[in-house]
Amino acid sequence: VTVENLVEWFNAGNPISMTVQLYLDLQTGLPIDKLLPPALAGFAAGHLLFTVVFILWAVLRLRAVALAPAPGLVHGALPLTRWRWRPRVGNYPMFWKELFTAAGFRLRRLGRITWGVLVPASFLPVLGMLYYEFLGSFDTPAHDVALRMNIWVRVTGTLVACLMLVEVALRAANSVRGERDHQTLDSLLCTPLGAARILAAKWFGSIAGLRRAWLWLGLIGMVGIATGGLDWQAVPALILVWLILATFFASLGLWFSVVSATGQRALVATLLSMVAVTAGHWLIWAVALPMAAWLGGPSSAPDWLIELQALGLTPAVTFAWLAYPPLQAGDWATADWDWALTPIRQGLVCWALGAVLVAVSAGRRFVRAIGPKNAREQKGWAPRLKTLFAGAVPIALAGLFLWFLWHSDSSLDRLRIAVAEADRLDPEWRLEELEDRRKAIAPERNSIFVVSAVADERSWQSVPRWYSGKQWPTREMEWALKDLAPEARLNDIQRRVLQAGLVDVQRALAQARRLADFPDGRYPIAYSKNGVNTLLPHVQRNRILASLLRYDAIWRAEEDAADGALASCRASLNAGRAIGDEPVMVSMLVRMACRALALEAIHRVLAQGEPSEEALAELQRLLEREEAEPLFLIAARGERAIWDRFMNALESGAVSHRELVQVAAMADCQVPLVTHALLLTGLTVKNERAALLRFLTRFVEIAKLPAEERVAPLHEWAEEHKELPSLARCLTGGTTWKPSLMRMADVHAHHDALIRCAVVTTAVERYRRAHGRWPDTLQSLLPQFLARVPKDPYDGQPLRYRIVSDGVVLYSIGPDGQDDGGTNLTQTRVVLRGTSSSEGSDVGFRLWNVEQRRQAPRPILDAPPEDK
Amino acid sequence: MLQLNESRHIFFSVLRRPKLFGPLLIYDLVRTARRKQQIVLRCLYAALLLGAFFFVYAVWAFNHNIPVRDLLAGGTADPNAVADFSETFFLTFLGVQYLGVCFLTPIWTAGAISEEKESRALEFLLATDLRNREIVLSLAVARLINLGLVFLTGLPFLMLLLLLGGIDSDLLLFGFAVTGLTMLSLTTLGIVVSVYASSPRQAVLRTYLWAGGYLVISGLSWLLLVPALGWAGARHRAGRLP
Repeated sequence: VTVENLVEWFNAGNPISMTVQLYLDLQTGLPIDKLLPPALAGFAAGHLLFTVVFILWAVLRLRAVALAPAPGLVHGALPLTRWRWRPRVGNYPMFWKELFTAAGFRLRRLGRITWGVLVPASFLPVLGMLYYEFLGSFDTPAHDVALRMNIWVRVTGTLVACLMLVEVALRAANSVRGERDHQTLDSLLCTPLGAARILAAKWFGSIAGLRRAWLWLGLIGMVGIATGGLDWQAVPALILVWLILATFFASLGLWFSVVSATGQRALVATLLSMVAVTAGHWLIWAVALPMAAWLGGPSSAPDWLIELQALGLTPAVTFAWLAYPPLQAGDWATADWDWALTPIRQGLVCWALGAVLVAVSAGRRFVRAIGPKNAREQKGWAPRLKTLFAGAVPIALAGLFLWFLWHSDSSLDRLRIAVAEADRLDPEWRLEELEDRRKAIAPERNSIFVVSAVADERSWQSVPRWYSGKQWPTREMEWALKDLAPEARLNDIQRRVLQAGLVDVQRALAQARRLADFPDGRYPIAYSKNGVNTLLPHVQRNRILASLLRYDAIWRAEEDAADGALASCRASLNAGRAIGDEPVMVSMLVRMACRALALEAIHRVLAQGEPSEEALAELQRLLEREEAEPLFLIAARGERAIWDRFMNALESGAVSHRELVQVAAMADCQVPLVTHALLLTGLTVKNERAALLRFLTRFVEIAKLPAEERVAPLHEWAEEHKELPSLARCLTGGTTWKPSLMRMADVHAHHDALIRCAVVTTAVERYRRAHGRWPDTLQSLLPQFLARVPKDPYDGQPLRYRIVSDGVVLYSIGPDGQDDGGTNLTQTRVVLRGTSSSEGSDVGFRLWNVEQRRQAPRPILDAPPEDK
Repeated sequence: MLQLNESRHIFFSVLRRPKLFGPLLIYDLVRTARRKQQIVLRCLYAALLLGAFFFVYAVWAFNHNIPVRDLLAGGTADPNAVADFSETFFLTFLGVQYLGVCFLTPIWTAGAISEEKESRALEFLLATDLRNREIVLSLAVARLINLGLVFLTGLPFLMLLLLLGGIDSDLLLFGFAVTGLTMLSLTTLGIVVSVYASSPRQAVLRTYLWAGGYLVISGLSWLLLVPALGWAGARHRAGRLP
């Protein structure tokens, strides 16, 4: 007799090993009809032997066992149990009874043997794996061992957890029915205990009485955690899932226990119902799919429903899925797992609702069965209230705790997903990371020192907008130099006003002109703790400087110093560029404003004179650099980072509610009282932060698109704003923030169009200087004057070019999407003010024939401003 | 004449003894057959088989790209494909039947004696002149017959299926034999557990635990030794397979 024989005999009745053995034997090429008889012979021998042994056993022991004295604590129990500590009965005798006298099976010899075999057997695979690992090759990588242990945890843990659920249901099924069968229910009803307390104790006892099984499952979990087969963070989720499922099955068992006529019926009905609710829903498809195929419908169920059934409504799958190893812990933070977590949550909600409904129904049936009089507590109102309070408070607290866990867990998941999504789509997106990513500029090339030098000039000190009651640029300057026709010279009034204005700041202007040679700048920024309140005092200074240089360019063009005027235009552009790539929307808006001022000045300078080739080439290079700057994307990234920092600070308590109200007021919104209350609980901040982050990540992704592809997604994005949670919607939905972003997108498209036109215009002027005529098409510019013809940001086509009687027009079709032939070009200043979407206008530049430049001055049509 | 009568009496006495089944067999057979669950179980089992049939049919129709409408409209299917469907459903049928037996047998039979205990009728039974074997075998056989009737619900399915071909008669016999043997051994296990259990619930759970424990331990012993012994090859080499 060999070990093989022994194992084979022992396995004679095992259908699984027989099937596997048959399969292995079939692989040897033998026909099945030759294999079945010996397999059946072994199987039959094993089972017949079992049958004979069991029958003989039952026959021989029936009378002896039935007539033996009932085992009590003294006679039948282990010596230790005689000294087992039990608490006093106290005020809750039913709970005490269910927990300490009716808890679980009374294990006699058979039960102890069962436990003694099953529990160690469940750990055999672990021992086997450790045996092969440590006495074997030693070369298995640690993560492989962890994954194998995870398979064991998933299989064994799920089996044990499901067995425990079966035990919960069966205990509950036997609870009331058992009392009836033992004729002790009448005794119970004679006590002052009410129906609710009896049922609640039965319900609670069926869940809490599984102490040994909990120990078993805990051991599996601990072994899993110790060997890397189970992540400790999965344990709370697994416990929560088990508890919710246990409440349902306890309610189900209790219901059948109340309504069934015999204990056996209650048992069968409970087991069948368990199978039906945990697996029966799959049968729907067995019927529905052929019907659907018959009717020509879909040949498979919707994914979401299959996921809900598998992960939410099939407990074994839920347990197995949630028992993830530490190696996969990082994956749970990604959006890829959202598809699995959502159905699990939905399933748990279904189980919890089902538990409540079934438990309520069981209570009603029980009261009906025993009579309403018996159902009442036989006490005064005070103890009843006390009982109610004692029962309701823990339940409420437990419910609150569960809700808190649930909400925290789901909010945390959403936040993890949002952060992971941002990390995946746009790495290094946080404010500190954005700041680190900003271009480093050597001090000798940093234009901010030139700007500072301008600010140091005494005359410049007078420039800030109000000085001794005097505004600069003065109202008179603004009136006289508003809406200048580019091709017309200044009239006497305009010359006088402009000259007077510039004389006031001539020393500062001399410094400011140096900016023409400083195209790069970067200010240091001291971000506030919450990000939103960050001060940017420098940006407005740059804007005024760009305005000053624009006036200078107008003056120099008037004086027929075209090259100098273009240098002022470059300086004006560089005044904006000194802001650099500050990740703040306000900074980018100011930079775009500076850009608009410079473009307007360039338009005028080219209409007034003939700059040299060198000046034009230098301007074109600068314009090309400026055109390549993704200002809109920088602003979008900055807004996301700043708002996330704000929400993070709010979450960590670094932002007080007073500050929140102030920030909300800045955003022109009022935070609802309910939102404040929820924020105080700390439960909703993560959710708000996650939603806002995802919302802004979507905005950043839109900002990455070419301007011509942005319009539709941007409107969809604006619609998504309505779905944000209350605080995020409030902060971003006032009259300032979202409209500013939308307008910025609009203005940025105009600026893209304008600056591309400006680049091509400069190239066309250079061509004219070189060839003495206008180019026939823009293709003629390639490659000497232009590397490529830029696209129109409004339709993705090449920019339009047309030769007219007095010059040429370069234009984009504009926001209305209609080509109006460049006859009605939008003025750049109008674009700056954000009213660019006027109908019937294109966006672009004109160049006049040389003889038609510097036309006669035109009168000012508006009345002069009144002094205040 | 007297001698003849005596001989007849002795002859029938020998036939009567040892009696395996007492009046309890008929009593329990009728009592359990009158339970509503019997009908409900049959309906559920038939519904389960019907569901499995539809499911296998859906998968088969999908794999062979055969719309049901076409078949109902008088279309024909390839006989090989039909045989393939028949074989697949037959195997599914055997699987469902076997799982049903494993699941229901303890529920149906393990409470036999403990129910009597719980209703305090076992003491009265033991007070009669019924022998232990009569009580045990009567209860076991009565439950077994009723449970067998539940599973016979599937026979019409199988009869219809035989018309389609593709079913191996050896496999059919093998499947039913394995199912029957499992039902028999689980019934007797349930009965012996029921002798010791004080309530049907305990008996049912312990039967599951014993059966599961046997499956796990024997399966693990087999699994752990398969790689060490190279079993399939060893059996083949030892000439123990035909």
